Amino acid sequence: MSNQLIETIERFTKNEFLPKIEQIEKTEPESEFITDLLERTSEIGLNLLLLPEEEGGIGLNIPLTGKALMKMAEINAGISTIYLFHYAGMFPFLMDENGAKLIREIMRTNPDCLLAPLQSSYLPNITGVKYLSVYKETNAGAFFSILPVHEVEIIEKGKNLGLRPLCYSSVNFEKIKIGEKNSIRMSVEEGKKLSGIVKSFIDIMLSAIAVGNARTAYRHAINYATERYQGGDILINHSIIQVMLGRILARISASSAYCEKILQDANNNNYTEAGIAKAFITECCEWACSDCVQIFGGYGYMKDFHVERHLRDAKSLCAISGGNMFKVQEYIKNLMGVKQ
Amino acid sequence: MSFSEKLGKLLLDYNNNNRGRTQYYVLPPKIKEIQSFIREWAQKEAKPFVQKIDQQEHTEFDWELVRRGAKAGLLTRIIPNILGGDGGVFDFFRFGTLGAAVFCEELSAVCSGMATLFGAHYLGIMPILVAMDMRKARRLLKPICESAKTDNPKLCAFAITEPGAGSDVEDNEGGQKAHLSTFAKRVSGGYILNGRKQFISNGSVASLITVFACTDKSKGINAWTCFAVTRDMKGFSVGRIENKMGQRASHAAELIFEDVFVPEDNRIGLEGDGWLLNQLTLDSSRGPVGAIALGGARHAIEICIEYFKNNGLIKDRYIQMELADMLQKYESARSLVWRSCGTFPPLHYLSAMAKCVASDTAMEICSKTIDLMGEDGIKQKNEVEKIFRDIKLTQIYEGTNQINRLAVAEELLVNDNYKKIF
Repeated sequence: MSNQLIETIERFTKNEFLPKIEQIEKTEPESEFITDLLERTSEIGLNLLLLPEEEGGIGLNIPLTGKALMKMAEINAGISTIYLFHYAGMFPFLMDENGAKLIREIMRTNPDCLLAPLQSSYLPNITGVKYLSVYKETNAGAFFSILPVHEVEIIEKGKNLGLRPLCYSSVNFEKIKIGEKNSIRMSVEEGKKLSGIVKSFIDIMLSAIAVGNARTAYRHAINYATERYQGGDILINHSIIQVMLGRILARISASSAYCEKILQDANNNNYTEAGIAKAFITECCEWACSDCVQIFGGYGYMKDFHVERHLRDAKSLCAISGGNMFKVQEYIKNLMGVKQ
Repeated sequence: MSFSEKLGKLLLDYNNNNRGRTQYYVLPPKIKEIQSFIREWAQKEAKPFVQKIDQQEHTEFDWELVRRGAKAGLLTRIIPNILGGDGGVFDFFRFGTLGAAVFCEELSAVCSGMATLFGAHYLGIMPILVAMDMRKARRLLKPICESAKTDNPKLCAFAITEPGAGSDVEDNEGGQKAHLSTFAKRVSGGYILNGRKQFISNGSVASLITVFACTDKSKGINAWTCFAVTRDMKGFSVGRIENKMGQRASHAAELIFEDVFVPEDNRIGLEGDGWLLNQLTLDSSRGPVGAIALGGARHAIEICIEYFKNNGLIKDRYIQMELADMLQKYESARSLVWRSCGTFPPLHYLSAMAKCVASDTAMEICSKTIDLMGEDGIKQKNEVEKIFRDIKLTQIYEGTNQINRLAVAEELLVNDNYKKIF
């Protein structure tokens, strides 16, 4: 059943996104075209993947959700990342009975709605988002609240290097007022822990997206190398290209295996390595995509061949959710903390 | 002995005598002047165009920037006084291509696409200058020099890449196996040119294009010949303008030649001199391409330092170490670029090395800057993402870095030449 679902997602993204890739790149994130595309994507239930079946969702576990995002990212990492943030937005609520009911109610009244997590003034995605899942600590405790996006003051919006049509924004976080309504409340200590888990969930899913993105870049490079003649011989017959492709494949395979491990760990509520794995995997995948562009030579730099998009997306995945160096630093700090 | 053979022997002797003997370079006062002038000009005149040009459609071209550049003498600095230009400011025979490298780095520190725009103009002029036929050079370059003083400046371009011949036409081994499909058939009074060129920087806007074509398909690179084609020649047209990842200030276009008659007087050098002219031109331009990469890297470092000054993290030891690492990589790569540019014509292996080291270093610095700045690094408004897109091209054009490495191996591994650089 689950595999069938992943296949459906794969087929849908291929049919729906692939012919429109260039238009997605060019079009403004708030255009009708993008809104329609996201609404149609939600119609097949993509926004319900993580929601338990008893709450009206599809109820995929974390590894399968990661696999679904990976498959989507093979076609378009931007839309895949938009859905990742949607799942991250609902994730803390699913840990709580009342929270899950709250999400069910929102999804029932707005079947095509998308959420996004907000923990500081930086909002990673605003494209197609109708509700924000805000985490805030107050004197009365820590809250995860659902707020309609129009209630939040947006200071600025902008595009990134890649991951189109995803669009970031800055909000006036200090002015956001939250209360008991549409919220789950907990102690600050519990809130910090859950907020950390949400961040780890994002890191794990970003890793899966990075792998999907790099796999497609690699496929493009292989196809190009087997078709293109260079210096009187087919490109794949040049030793330098063989070594490059071998190294790219090794990096992607290692990333893929590591990604599989952290997805399984997360399924067992172990998020220890999420940050450091995200740093490793996204860097490996960026390196792989950069070399794929090199294999294409001049063609790789042209938008028509798409491999440049995979590089931009790969670099953006390194930067999003905080710099990779801080992820590594955080991991060691936590590790030392455990030892102490 | 033909001109080509004489020049080839001269170059071979020169390379053998000078391998490993170039010196470290401190900028001479004249080059320092260029640096200050371009730095000021770029900040004042070019910077206002950067964001607009980056966002515009790939088919649009900003002539206002070229006009401003022409007024400041940017189009004619490479052309000696005796040929009607602004006269040997770069002074190749005294300073090598160091002037061009400094020029490119300063422009690139504002926008790498702009550096490529003006650099590609110089590239188009280069074969005409190195062929050293003063009468022909004066005639061909006169309209360029005169137009630079008007509101309708003219640009040049260098056309060698073809759909089936890319990086391989930019080193010896590949060049010998690759076949230029652009063919020049000898007819009374000149040649008939047929073929297509691809990814030609400035191709869509240039008035004068130095085109490389084959005159005898059985002779390989020995039949490559260079021609000066003007935009108004019948049968010449511009095909698609490429939609590039970055460097959007400079167009890359397809050029189509359909029975274009080129008078014999527009042939640069002799028949068969094309390969040599191509190599001399590319050897001269690889150092400056390295400088374009480093200009972008410098800009990224500046943004990164300001960013951490503003958020207070500049005091963090780890951040300091990363910034120091970037600065030392930049400085060492620039030393190699300056060293490679210090002689004219530049040494083949050294210019290839400089281009590889500088572009790889620049890419590493840009990438690291984004990693350090996190989400802020990929926001369009913070410019680093633009630099990342722009700099990627420096690892690809003028021969991919893989091809340039082969060029280094090809020269240094033959006859144990590598021992001479130790």
